[in-house]
Amino acid sequence: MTDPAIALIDKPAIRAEGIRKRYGELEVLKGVDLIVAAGQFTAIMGKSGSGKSTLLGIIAGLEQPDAGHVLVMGQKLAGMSDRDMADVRRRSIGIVFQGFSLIPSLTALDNVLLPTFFAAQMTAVEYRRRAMDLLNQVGLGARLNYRPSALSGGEQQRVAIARALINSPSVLLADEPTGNLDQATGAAVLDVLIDLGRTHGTSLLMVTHDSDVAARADHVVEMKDGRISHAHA
Amino acid sequence: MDILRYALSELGFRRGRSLVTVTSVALAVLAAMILTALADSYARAIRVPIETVGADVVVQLQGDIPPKLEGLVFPHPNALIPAGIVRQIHALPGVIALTRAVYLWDLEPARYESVLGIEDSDAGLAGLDGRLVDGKAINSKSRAVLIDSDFATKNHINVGDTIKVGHETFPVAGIVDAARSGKIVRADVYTPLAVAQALATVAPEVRALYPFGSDDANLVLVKVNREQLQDVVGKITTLLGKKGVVSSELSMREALSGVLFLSQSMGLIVAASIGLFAAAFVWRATASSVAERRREMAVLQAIGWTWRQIRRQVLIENVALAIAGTAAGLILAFVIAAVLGHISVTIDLPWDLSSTPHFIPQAAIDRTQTITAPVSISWPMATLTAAGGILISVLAALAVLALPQPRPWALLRSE
Ligand SMILES: Nc1ncnc2c1ncn2[C@@H]1O[C@H](COP(=O)(O)OP(=O)(O)OP(=O)(O)O)[C@@H](O)[C@H]1O
Ligand SMILES: [Mg+2]
Repeated sequence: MTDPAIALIDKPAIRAEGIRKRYGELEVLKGVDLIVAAGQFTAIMGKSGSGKSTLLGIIAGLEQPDAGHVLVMGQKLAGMSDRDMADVRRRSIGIVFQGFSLIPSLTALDNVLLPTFFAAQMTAVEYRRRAMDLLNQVGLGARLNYRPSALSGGEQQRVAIARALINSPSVLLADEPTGNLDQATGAAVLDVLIDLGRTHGTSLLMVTHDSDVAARADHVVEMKDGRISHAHA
Repeated sequence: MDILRYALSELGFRRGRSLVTVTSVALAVLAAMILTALADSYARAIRVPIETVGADVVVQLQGDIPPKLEGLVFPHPNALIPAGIVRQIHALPGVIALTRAVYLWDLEPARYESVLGIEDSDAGLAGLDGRLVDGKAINSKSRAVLIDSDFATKNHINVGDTIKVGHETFPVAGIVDAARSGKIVRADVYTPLAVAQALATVAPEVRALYPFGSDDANLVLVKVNREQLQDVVGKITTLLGKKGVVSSELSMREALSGVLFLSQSMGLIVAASIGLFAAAFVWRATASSVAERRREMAVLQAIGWTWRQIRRQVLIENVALAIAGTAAGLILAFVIAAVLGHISVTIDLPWDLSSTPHFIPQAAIDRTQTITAPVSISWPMATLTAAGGILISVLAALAVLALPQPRPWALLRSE
């Protein structure tokens, strides 16, 4: 039997190596190496402006690094076509932002279904059933046909979580998903996110300012001055 | 299917913008259709006077005023057309048929009558067959005449009576209602061509001016292949020289240019500029919607849509709006065309198409004619405009979407 820890290192969900990024004069990332183990919850902490969001964007393939490369489930993002990149984002990555990420014209159910419009792993009926299932799991079984404007901030984030999970991604990325929510609501949303991440066997990489949240993570990564200053389990 | 549902939700959600786009496309389509329908209707109206003589081109030569206005004369200012020229006209490419006629005025001290001797063709005696209200038809071998129903009523003439033309007397074989028929030169008395030719040959006031032979004519009606009309008219004009009078749809158009403020090309130009305005409106509406939805588009990219798929989505929305706008415009256009019904144009008939001796003061002839033509929308026009309406919307959307792929993360990161 192989040591599970070694297996995790061998097959990480995300491997970022030597990531550098500058915006004009400002060098935001100065060579970041990061490994996110499959199926685990990794929290990124750090002061405002330390480059957490920038790193997450690069991992999601939504931002180009100046140097270094990212592998998501062993696939190297650099040099991918728009189409292949979209494929990776659809199949392997689920992403949750701070807020206001739902399409205002669509119902909760349709918002969850958005990432499946060009996917063909299941039939339309199966996708629908799965979307309803997920909305049930985030506690919105009774709000399927509500538009975002009729949902509270916490409910909107739950919809976003369900949407991020619809294609059973290997990795969930979250950039301060509760940053816009009050303490109690935020905690409830986090419970949903962390629990669902675990039940679906999804690795979770979350940027957070909240050390209580970080305390629940398998790994915590600290960013400082464009580098990872500290990582601990 | 999902894509369509998304597009429709979006359009319903942004009702204001949808309405602006649909309305501007609808107005453009409506204006284009109504303007071209009106222009078309005018174009048809100006064809009416020339069509009422049953030919595309009426050929005459200008002549002199007879020394004395009495007995049988050529209508002023009409002259003999040499037989050689008639043959040359007949041989022109594009000429389908040619009908010769002799047109005379019989001037008596107390009255006048117009006399038309004409060949058997459809533009001639055969064209009168269906217009008989009493009696029998005549043909080239007859020695009898037909008379116009208005003329018969005014002068109390019945079938079986006789009528004097020049110095000869003819039995009246039938009465025709040529006024309501269209398709033939109006006259009071219709005779076979040979009869009028024989009368003209011996008429002193004709002989005083022309060496009229027994097979000559002073009026030629030509049926022409419509595509070659301009060409044929040009050639006939050259053949006849300075004194030629060639009446056709083209000369009518020239004569009526004052009335025809709306030529067909004018209609198209106006429609095209309205189309441009509509395109600008659609472009603006699309641009503002895309600007509003930049974050939404970034989200779509983040959850695995390609930029192409996102652009197609916006395009589908625009096409849906364009189809709705075009449909609304088409329906409105058909309704308005039906409400308008027809246009009426009152025009002064030029002398060459007037069948009455307008220089006789007591005749007090009204030479204006009111022509009505239906305003109707042709299906090819509707199809073309519909395609145009959809095309401008698509082009406007494409112009907006030509923008480079944005960098989504800048819109999505949280600070
Ligand atoms: N598109 C950009 N152009 C210029 N500067 C940028 C851009 N994006 C980020 N920056 C700068 O890069 C630095 C790092 O930004 P980043 O959003 O990654 O920080 P962060 O750690 O997420 O901070 P916060 O905790 O406030 O969210 C900041 O100083 C920011 O102003
Ligand atoms: Mg940030």
